[in-house]
Amino acid sequence: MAKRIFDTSYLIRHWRTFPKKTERTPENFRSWSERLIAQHGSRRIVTPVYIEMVAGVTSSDELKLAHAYLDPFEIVDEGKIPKGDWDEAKCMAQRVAPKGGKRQLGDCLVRAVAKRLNCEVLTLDTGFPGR
Amino acid sequence: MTTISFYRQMRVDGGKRTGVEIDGETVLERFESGSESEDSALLWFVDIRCSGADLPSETEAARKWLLDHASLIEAGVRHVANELGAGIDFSTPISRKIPNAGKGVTVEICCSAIRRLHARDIAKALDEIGSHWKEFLKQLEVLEPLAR
Repeated sequence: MAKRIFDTSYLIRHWRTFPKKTERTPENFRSWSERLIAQHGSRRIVTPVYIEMVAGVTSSDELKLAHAYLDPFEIVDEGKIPKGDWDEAKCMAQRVAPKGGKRQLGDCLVRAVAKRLNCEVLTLDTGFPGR
Repeated sequence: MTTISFYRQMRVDGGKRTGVEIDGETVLERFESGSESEDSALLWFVDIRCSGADLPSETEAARKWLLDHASLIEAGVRHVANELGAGIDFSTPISRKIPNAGKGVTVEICCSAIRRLHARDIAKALDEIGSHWKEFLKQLEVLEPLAR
């Protein structure tokens, strides 16, 4: 799949646009994420995105839906984030955008892993500082 | 069934990545750096996704197949560019099949703007691909397995 990694903001927006008239079952949520994957030509996420998505649920029923939704994605770092990625994330965390705004751990890590893997990030976050 | 996908995508920092995948694995790639203010957030992408039982699965053969089908793909890309230029709804990714791709072969153009770009901006990107198709393909470097 193309070198694109979904970040949490992107998945959350997609999750929230699940059709209201469709029954909220694990099967349908899985189909919903498969559709996103097909449209974007990528199934790549990283561990922090998986954790942030799961951490956002508020009930056991919703957790089942989240697991089904996330199942088709590939966690490209395989849960192994080397020191170099943490160092890069630390550098990113210390950048301040001209308009200010705080950086989040997850965003910094996603970008650090993406950089190591020569990938781009599918994100809705517009406040992340470049360098 | 073999799949060959050509992709070109642009980052917020202006960097552009162009590549070819065979069965989901990147085998050819080129990255054009953007500004010094590095930002890997994606601005847009264009994919040309080809599938068929008789498509080549070897790197240089896939490049040759894409070059051999330049006329078909260039025309298809320009057609989608014209459609976008006319101002169609571009709030979600779009995909269009190129007709007459050959027996048992499907060629599909998929594109999306991640940020709020106008359809006309993507039309320009498609025009660029249509105008430089062979050049883009020839410039791609073979990726060694470890670099993929």
